[in-house]
Amino acid sequence: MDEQYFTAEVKARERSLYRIAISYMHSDADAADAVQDALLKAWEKRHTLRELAYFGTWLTRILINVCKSHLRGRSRAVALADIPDAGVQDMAEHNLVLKEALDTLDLKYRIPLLLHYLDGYPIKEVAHIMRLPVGTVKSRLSRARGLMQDRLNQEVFSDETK
Amino acid sequence: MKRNDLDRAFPETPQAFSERIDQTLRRIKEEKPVKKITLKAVLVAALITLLAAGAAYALVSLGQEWYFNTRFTAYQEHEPEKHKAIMDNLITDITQKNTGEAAKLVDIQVQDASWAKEQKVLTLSYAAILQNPDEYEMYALWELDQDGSWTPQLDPDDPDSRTEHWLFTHHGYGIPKDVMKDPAKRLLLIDPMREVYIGQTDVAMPMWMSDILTSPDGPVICLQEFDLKQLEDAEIRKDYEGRTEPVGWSKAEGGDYQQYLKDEETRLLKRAADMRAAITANTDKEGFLHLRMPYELWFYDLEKNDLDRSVTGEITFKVKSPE
Repeated sequence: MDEQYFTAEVKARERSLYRIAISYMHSDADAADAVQDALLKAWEKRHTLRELAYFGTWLTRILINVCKSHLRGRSRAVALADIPDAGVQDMAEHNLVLKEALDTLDLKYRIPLLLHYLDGYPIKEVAHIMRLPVGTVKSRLSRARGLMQDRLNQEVFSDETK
Repeated sequence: MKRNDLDRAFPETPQAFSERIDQTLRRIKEEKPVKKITLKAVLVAALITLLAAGAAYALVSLGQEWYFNTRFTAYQEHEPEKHKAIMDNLITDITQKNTGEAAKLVDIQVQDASWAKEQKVLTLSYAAILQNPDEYEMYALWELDQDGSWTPQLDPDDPDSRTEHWLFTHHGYGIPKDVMKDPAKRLLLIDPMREVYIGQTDVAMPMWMSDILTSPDGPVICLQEFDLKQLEDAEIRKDYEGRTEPVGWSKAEGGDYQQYLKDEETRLLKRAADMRAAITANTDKEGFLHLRMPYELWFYDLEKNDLDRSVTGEITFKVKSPE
């Protein structure tokens, strides 16, 4: 993998990287720090990627590991609720409802939801990224859909899981 | 509401976030490989020459033609001129020898080389084969714990952390003795040290990328690419022209940005001068550039599931400079 390929693949996934990082870190600055560390780590370990087709899976996995690592290093005294949410002031009211519904989901439901429905990863790859059995991912997605429907009281997900 | 509406639950990607990604990607481009080489012991006392000059090579089927057409196809798809230049300049008749303690256990050879002058790129591929496959099984060190989840002590906050080493093989990813072809054999892990030095100097060639994998049939294959533009002052200066301070640049951490650029440019220009001098001094009358690549071979303790000890080796070879 050369620098040009790496750069192009990262840029193509910028939005996805932001969604994952902000879900864990809850602030733009911390999300940027996490992504920076993840990219440097990924570049350093680029030889470990066996199949270029799995670049997204591999990079997302590294980013999640880095986010968890950063969260562990964060002061436990700061409750997540006390951290101002990124960009909230710029969001329309409708989107805020969505955001609030999503924010009520535990990360173990939110991340597979984002990876599967927004980033389009098949369940098998979500399982690989999250180091979970496929069955667990399916049940978490099902639970996540149910929770989101409860909160929004409308049909958000009409498609069956793959 | 469609599923993609979910994206609206997130704010627009902040400009500063995008800038930070750009800044990080530029930093990646500027940095040279960081791995430091530390030879553990001096052991050249019993050099064993395994290959005579001009030895033909048997594993070219897993050389660069295979690599750039099968495993890594980005050049073929996105930089066809570079791909063609690499293919057009491939040579397999390479004078080389493998020496050191590790050479008693593994036969590592340069399979082929391509010095594409017009594209300013040099590529090399290696294959490492066990001398005694009945006793040993070998993989690349990179294939151990490649997911980064191994930690010396279990982290209760991280469900992914583990204290057992895992190895990636064609039988799966897990504890080495569970995924080896034959766990009754001893396990060796080879680590090409990622730098290729010019002659006997400590000046390294400008590595651009490398890749390593164990093929299904056993040989460990390594590919290296060198960016020869890094030998030219004009190319280095061009790379630093017209840069503006990126959003999010931290003066506290990085100092004045223009000074940072100047320092980096100076460092790379000096490195280029050192490389050019070393290349001139180590190119023989016939126009062959002499190179060497150290490597390390680790013994693995399957009972303890841990690295045991290592021995080192070095492959020296020469490639013809283009006219």
